[in-house]
This record gives sequence, C-alpha cells and structure tokens, in this order.
Amino acid sequence: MIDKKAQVGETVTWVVATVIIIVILTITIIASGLIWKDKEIQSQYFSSADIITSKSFFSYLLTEDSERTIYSQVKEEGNLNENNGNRALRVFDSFNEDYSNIMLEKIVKEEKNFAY
Amino acid sequence: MNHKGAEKILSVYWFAILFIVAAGIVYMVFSFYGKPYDIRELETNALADKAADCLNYGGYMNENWQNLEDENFLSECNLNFNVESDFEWENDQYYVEIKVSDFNSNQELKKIAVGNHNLRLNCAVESDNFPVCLEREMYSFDKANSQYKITILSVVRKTEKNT
Repeated sequence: MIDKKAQVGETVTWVVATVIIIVILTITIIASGLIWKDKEIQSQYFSSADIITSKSFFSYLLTEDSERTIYSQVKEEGNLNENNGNRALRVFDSFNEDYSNIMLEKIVKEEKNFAY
Repeated sequence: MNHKGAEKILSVYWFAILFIVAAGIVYMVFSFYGKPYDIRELETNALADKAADCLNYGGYMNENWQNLEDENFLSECNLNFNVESDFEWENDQYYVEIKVSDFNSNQELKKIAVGNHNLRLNCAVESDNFPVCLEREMYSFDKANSQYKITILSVVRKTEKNT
C-alpha cells in the first residue's frame, strides 16, 4: 500500500514536470514566432537623417520672398509671417504625418489662421 | 525487478522529453533564420534619396536637371539597376518615377520614368509578395527663384529574396 502511494506520488511529479516543460516550450515557441513574425527592417533604424525632408527644408529657407531669403526673414522677425507661413504650409503639407511635432510645424499650425 | 522496470520507463520518458525540447529549439531557430530580412523599404528610401540628390544639391535644383531624360537618368545620376544576378533577374527589379511640377501652378514640367514600368501597377497592393513602393514629395527651387514640387516614386520588387 505504501509502495503504491509512493509510485503514484512519483508519477504525479513527473506528469507535472512534463506539463511544465511543454507549457514553457510552447510559450517560447509562440513568443519567438510573434517577435520575429515580420523580419522587416525599416529605414528609421539606420538613417540618421531624412535627406528629402532636409533638402526641402534647406530649399525653403533659401527661397527668396520679398527680396530676402525666408531664413533671414525668420531670423529678423523671430517667427513666420503671413507669406512664408503660408508657403511653409504648402511645402511641408506632405510631411505632416512623419513630423507632426517638429518646431516648424508647431509654428505653422499656430499660424494656420493665415488664408490657405 | 520492479525498480529496474521503472528506470527503463523513466529513460524512455527522458528521451521523449529531450526529443520534444530539441524539436522545439530546432523549430524556433528555423522559424527565425529560415526567413530572410526584408530590406526593401530601406532600398526604396535609398533609391529616393539618390534620385533627390541628383535633382537638388545644396538647396538648389541642379543646373542640368532639364537635360535629364529617361535614357540618361541612370548614367547622369550614377545609378545601376542591373545589380542582381539571382533568380535570373535582368534589370527589372527597380522602378523610379520623378515628376517635376511648378510649385505654384502645379503644372507638370517633366516626368522621368526608368526601370520596370510594370512594377508601378502593383503599388496599390500592400502585401509581402508585392513590390514595396515609396512616394515622397520634395520642394526645391533654382537660382532664378523658380520653385518646384518634385514627386519621387521608388519601387523595389525582389520579392523572392526578401520574403
């Protein structure tokens, strides 16, 4: 009788151990499958600068408006005026989704009451 | 006798567990390394950047941008689409389309399209098995203060290699 109890106890231990091993293994397999489902490397991991946006921004600042570059206008006036503000809205309209929180966009949004 | 029988069963059990764990590890390794990295989005970005470089430098439009045509775009911009020898690909895995429009009137002034034109047709479909497309817009102007809107569409196929 004692022998039988000991055997049952040992068997239960092994069954529980097996269940634990299988559960851990299943969790690991599912987790690895979820983590590495898309082995897609996106550009933001590598590019330190958005070349196209920086080119547009550079061109925008160098554009002459009222015989002065927009850069010198902003520098002197401390903010965008009606003309260059409206132009910024048109130039950077396509960048809204990617750069919704950069400073120029903030200025532009505040000045959005310009006729546009 | 009973004790020996139990040991035999236990060793079979241990082998079974060992096999299950090993199979699990093999499956995990295979599921990770069996699939290649998809770098096509990176490639489309690099292609768009190269095209942008070719049109705009230092904030201004390049002086010879009006001479760019479908025939000379690749050589003028130092691009080579014939770089993949796998899967019998022949110069048909890339497509670049550039539209230069007047910034104020939006009138199209120039359109350059090089590479495999058929790839453009699949841009509406978002799936791993279809080409990856990237469309970017850029603002530029020339020294005469004419302002332009440049739209660059770059497409990379190479599906077999990346999925």
